[in-house]
Amino acid sequence: MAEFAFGPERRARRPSLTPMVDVVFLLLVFFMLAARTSADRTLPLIPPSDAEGVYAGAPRIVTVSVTGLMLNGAAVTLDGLPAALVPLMPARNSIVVLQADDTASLQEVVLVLDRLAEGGIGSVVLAE
Amino acid sequence: MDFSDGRTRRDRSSVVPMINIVFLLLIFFLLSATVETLPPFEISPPESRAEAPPETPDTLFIGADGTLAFGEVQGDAVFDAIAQSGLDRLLLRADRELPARRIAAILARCGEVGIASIRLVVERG
Repeated sequence: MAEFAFGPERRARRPSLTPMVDVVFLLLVFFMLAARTSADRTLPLIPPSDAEGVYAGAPRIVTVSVTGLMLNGAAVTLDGLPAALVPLMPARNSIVVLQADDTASLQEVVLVLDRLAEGGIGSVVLAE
Repeated sequence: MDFSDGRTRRDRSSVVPMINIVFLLLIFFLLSATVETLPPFEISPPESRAEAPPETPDTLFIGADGTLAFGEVQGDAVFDAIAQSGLDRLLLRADRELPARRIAAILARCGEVGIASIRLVVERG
């Protein structure tokens, strides 16, 4: 079979890398900007149904309002709350009931939960 | 005197290591990125010292006025959607100004539809 050769012989061309590098850099910048490197921080909450039938010992009802905290109806400070609760708890993981009045916001409740967690009291149930 | 050996064209192979590194970085960011579901309304989480990581990406959004959103569903229908999804863990992203009474009611409803573990997203205080 005859071979035809039209024009000068072409050398095998290597495709240019530049456009690909451009696209890859664009993708890189996009993902660098869009990525969230820090994970969310969370606070565990206990659904009230988990606490049914488990409650034992003296009443431990903490009431949160904008005016301050009450433990079983008596005013208590935020810093004094864990110490005031410990004598009322039969066990370290006993449930404490936290009740918010109409004026309290979520931030105030979270502050109390934080303070209790620092005092080693983690089983706090939010009641309606 | 001419010491050149005729290779006057810039050597293109020096680009290849750079491309390798860039591809590595690209793959790293692709894998490390978390696909985030954006809240349908503005939410500023409460400040807290808690540091626990989230257990699940399934998020129930609660606005400052108590508006609920879960996936595409909004309003009280979210609890039906949660019940149908069969989830037992939930992440709450609630506004710090939300009345605390409301969150207690929402926790109770979540417990009723089969959620056993709930975590609230917080910000570093």
